[in-house]
Amino acid sequence: MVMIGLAGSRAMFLDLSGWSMLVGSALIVSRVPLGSTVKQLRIFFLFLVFVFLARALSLDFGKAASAGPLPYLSAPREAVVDGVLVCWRLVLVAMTGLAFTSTCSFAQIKAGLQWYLAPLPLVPEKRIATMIGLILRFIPRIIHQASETTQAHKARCIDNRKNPLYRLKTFVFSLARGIFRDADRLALAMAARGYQEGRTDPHLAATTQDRFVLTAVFVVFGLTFF
Amino acid sequence: MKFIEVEHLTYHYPDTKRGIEDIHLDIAAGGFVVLAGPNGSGKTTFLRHLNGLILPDAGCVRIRGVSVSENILRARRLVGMVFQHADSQIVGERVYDDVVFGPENLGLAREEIFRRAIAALDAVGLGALSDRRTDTLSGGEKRKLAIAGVLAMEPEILVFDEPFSDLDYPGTRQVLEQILSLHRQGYTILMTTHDLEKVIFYADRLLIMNEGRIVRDGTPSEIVGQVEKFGVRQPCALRLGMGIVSWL
Repeated sequence: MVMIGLAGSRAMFLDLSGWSMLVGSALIVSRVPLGSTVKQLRIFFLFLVFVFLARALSLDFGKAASAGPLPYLSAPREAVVDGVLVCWRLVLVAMTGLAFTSTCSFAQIKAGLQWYLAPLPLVPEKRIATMIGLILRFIPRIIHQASETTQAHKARCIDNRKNPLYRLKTFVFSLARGIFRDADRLALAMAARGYQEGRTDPHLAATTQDRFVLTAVFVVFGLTFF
Repeated sequence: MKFIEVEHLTYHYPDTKRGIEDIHLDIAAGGFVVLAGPNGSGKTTFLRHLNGLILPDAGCVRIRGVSVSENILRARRLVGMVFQHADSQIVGERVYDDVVFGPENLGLAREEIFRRAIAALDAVGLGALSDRRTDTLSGGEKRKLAIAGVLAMEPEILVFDEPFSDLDYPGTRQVLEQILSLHRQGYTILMTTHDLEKVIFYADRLLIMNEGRIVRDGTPSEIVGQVEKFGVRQPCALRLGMGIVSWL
């Protein structure tokens, strides 16, 4: 993913096409439901529209006004191309992240993270990997709890309060209390199951598919930079 | 044989008088002990001393002759604890990932971890769900997963804190049948509950706690007639004059 991000920052149309084919193939093979994914990412695509407009359009009051409803607005060809490239790179990064999270379980992500951090001195890689794993595991629960907190407050007519700061404060305190309570219970449960630093290391294994994708990443990275 | 020895166990939470006071009892191997009492009577506080989650202000707990505070990891391996809120104790994304958490903590070899995980999942009937995401399990299945996670550490005593809370009728039946099956296999069972009706038929010993102390200790038939004055509801069948009957 790091290599894709680095290459993406320098990639032009031909390179981005290669990357796109690689990422697109990964998404198809991993059977990610593209239709519903596009629907869920509509806010992201709206953001891309703004990014494109910001890159492609320019206002210049010093030049002679051109005809049309926006006389001082122009879209130079170079700026439009630049806007397209930037948006394409952003889509590529997002889709790569999607392919990564769709094909890797939390356990595999944890194992990989621990493996990467192991050579670094003074870094407790097992503890960090466990923490990251727990965060990923409990994000759905936190989202559910936030929804329940919102519903509970609405049931007690919080909507009648017009002060947004008060509503935010009440929501945050209620949610935080629930999260910390669950965190406390989780810590106790982990301690009860003998959690300690000297745990068995996770099992890392690469399949033929993994090696193929890794090779393809190296090839496209090399073609982009050299 | 005394499996757990509790000697004059006392603990008070900081800045409060609440806790437990001078608890002194033994629990034999193979028993089915029910601990009942009103909210705040100290049941959970007492349970957490058995595996060193809380260390006492005075007194001690010994598991097979060894003090818990001298070897906490040993106590946590021998005493498997299933907490009241199943969701808060499930750490794995998938069923298999959660069950191996305990054996991984013991530093076992990967092959041994796999063997224990499969055996534990089969013991609770979740073998076919090993690849399922834990947030898609039903309430009863989550409770069984919590039990499997503890069984994978091969404990000798199983401690359940309010095992039927938040469960519907099918879930309660599943969990109760699982607990009874484990008892038949030889595990010592210690359970806290507000709801004596479900378990009193199967228990061979009933303890009542009130305000941090053990106030009654005996067989269910000896004690059940007195439970209401300590804030514990008598089983419905008993109120109707039917004696202690099975809930299943």
